[in-house]
Amino acid sequence: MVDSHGSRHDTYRSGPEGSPSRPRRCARPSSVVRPHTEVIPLPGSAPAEPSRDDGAPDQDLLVDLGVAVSSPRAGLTVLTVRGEVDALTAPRLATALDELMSGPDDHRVALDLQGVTFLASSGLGVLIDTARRAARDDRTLVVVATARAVLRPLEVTGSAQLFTVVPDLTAIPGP
Amino acid sequence: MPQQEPSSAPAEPRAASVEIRTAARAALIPTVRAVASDLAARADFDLDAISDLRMAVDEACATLVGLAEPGSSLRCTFDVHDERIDVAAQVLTGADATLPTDSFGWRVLQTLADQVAVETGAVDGGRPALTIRLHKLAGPAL
Repeated sequence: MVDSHGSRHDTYRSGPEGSPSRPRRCARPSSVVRPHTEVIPLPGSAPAEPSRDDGAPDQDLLVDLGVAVSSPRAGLTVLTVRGEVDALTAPRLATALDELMSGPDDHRVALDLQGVTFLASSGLGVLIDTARRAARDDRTLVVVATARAVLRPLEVTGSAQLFTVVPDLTAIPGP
Repeated sequence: MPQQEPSSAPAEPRAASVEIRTAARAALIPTVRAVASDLAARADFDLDAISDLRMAVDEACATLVGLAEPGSSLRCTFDVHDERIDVAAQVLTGADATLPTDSFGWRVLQTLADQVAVETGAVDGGRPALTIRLHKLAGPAL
């Protein structure tokens, strides 16, 4: 749902995929709404939301990722990510992280993943690449995460050790 | 909700079988993994196991969609047993499609699932297909 500010950050705000707060999307095959179409109805004929023209092949489905850069205090730059990081959205995260890491290197950088509701291996790959780049540049990449959707993938793949994982932004150590 | 057809479950009468078919497009994978997550939750899987299955199904589908014939379908079957879910994800491919098993994603899949296997073969009158089968146990396995 695009809000009055045109911000796309709220599109995935609430809960896991398929939650009742996203009723107009087809996260759950519904035999009630479209009883005569395919098993998974394609919503292309009834676009509920405008899609950003980024050249992606699947413009008819909302697959965007919310990314926003902020600086909550001097010397700290935070990239806030909302949504599901999978094969489709991982490139957007990679671009945003690339810009973040290209900033002034006296800034501490943090990645706020509290709004991420799914993290696929493609997204993990992006995070791991960024952590390695940060290490090469002698910088610390702080990840803010509390949800299982993020912590579990980091844990299962043994990649949590590549990051400094903290539970909230205020826990980010000063420069 | 996914259609449950316990009467048509082939091997084990008690297994609930759910099959979904989508266009073989990455944008529809969130739907498939949501179904996987939902089934695991209803089968009272451990929360970590639910998360793992959701990721594993996503990985399997993403891999297959990348190899699928243009305009073809992705077919996913979930057999829900008491203590595990068996997943078979299948796409039609070109004749020489091979599944990369040396990628990071594949290693992640092997870590997430309790068992993974790849099958190649012909379906629907000789059209080449790739199938990923994975099994996920309800309890903590890692």
